[in-house]
Amino acid sequence: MAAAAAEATIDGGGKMIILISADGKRFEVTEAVASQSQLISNMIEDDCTENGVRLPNVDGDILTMVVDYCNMHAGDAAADGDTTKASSTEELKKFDAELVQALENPVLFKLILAANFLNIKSLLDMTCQRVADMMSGKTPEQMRETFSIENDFTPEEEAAIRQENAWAFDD
Amino acid sequence: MSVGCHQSPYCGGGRGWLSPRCRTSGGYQEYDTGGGGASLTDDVLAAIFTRLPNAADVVRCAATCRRWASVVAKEANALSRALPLLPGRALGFFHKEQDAAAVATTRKRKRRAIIVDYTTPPCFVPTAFGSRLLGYNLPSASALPLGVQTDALGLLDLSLSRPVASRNGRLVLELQSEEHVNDGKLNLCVCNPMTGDVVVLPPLSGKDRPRMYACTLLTDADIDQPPPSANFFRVLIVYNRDRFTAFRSYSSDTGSWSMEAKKTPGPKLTNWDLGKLGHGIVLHAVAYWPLRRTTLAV
Repeated sequence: MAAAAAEATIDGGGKMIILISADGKRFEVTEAVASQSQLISNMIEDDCTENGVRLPNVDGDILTMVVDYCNMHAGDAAADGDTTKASSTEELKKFDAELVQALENPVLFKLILAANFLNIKSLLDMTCQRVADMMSGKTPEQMRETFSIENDFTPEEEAAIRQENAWAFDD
Repeated sequence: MSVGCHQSPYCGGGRGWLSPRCRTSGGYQEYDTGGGGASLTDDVLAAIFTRLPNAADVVRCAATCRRWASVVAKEANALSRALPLLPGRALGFFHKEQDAAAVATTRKRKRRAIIVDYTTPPCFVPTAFGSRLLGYNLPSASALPLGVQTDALGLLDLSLSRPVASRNGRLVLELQSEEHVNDGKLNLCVCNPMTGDVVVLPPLSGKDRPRMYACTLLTDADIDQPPPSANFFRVLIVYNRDRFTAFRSYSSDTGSWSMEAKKTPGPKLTNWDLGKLGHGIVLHAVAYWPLRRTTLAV
């Protein structure tokens, strides 16, 4: 992480930005790292990052993950001429896979919401795909169980849905 | 609820990253309680649903609870674009000016084709779905490859042709460029407008040339036994001889027309009936045409 940050500094993202989580934790990152968030990138353009960026929607532990992710991926755009790119791409994939595989649902959802709020497309893609993979092939009952959803349909409504879409349920 | 957010022009009004419900209620703490699927905002749910591999998964998601169902309903447009194509949807139809001459290139449905005009090229009118898939919007003849190089006949001009039958994405065209009309042969070709494949059938000339005929196409999907090859098709034509009604078929596996066969039971079809036959309905490898009070099955 430290190495990645140093590299980003060399790449010209020298200016540091302070991100402040909902519970007051402060994270110092380079502009290059923070710009992966379209939200912060826009704020940098508008010059409103002087006193740190407060992120009232994002908890400290989630922001830790987001900052880790951004640090890992900071080289993505800048490292075109890098000879070690092939290996680093694999490392990144591995890092990404481990990041989302290990998460409990509530944490994963918070990470998705943070990625959505901060508008970090690659992180949002990856986490949403993970949830979609979890949904795929499940019956509505299994999905309710997996995602702790309350069934608020009346039995009649549910029967009607099943009847109308029988093709989706007969596997 | 304090802030930081107010520094950004993106939280105040217009399109923000949070759904309207979140913004007005002061952060998404309201969703943050259960930690289950209920904690996700509508826009995030929609983003997840668009990544589901098929439509059945989306339907089952919509069947879990009211909120998910409303998200699926609200995002139906985006979802249907993201999902793989359902089979059996109409892409559009071919249309000739001056006449109700239309034949549908549907993959499952069949339309009648009664065509008289020989001069203007058929014009392809895509449905909304078809134009999205094919990438153009205006009625266009360009769905047909206009010039196709084939080994047998050199350059074919498909713009001078009329569609006579279609089924499962394939289209039977009667070639009508001057050279083809003048040499007194019936030249049919079978093409797949989506892939650009064109097979030119051996011409029927001399006494083999039917004057008026009805044509139907059977494809590999119609044959109950496993087809001889993946791109199997069979073209069936019905036409009148002096004394009887005859049939003849072309199979892609043999690459030639079969011998002429007589319609055995019943009288000869009148030319009027034959002209009205149009496109048959295919079911379990049998082609049916409706007649006035009965059905002709082959």
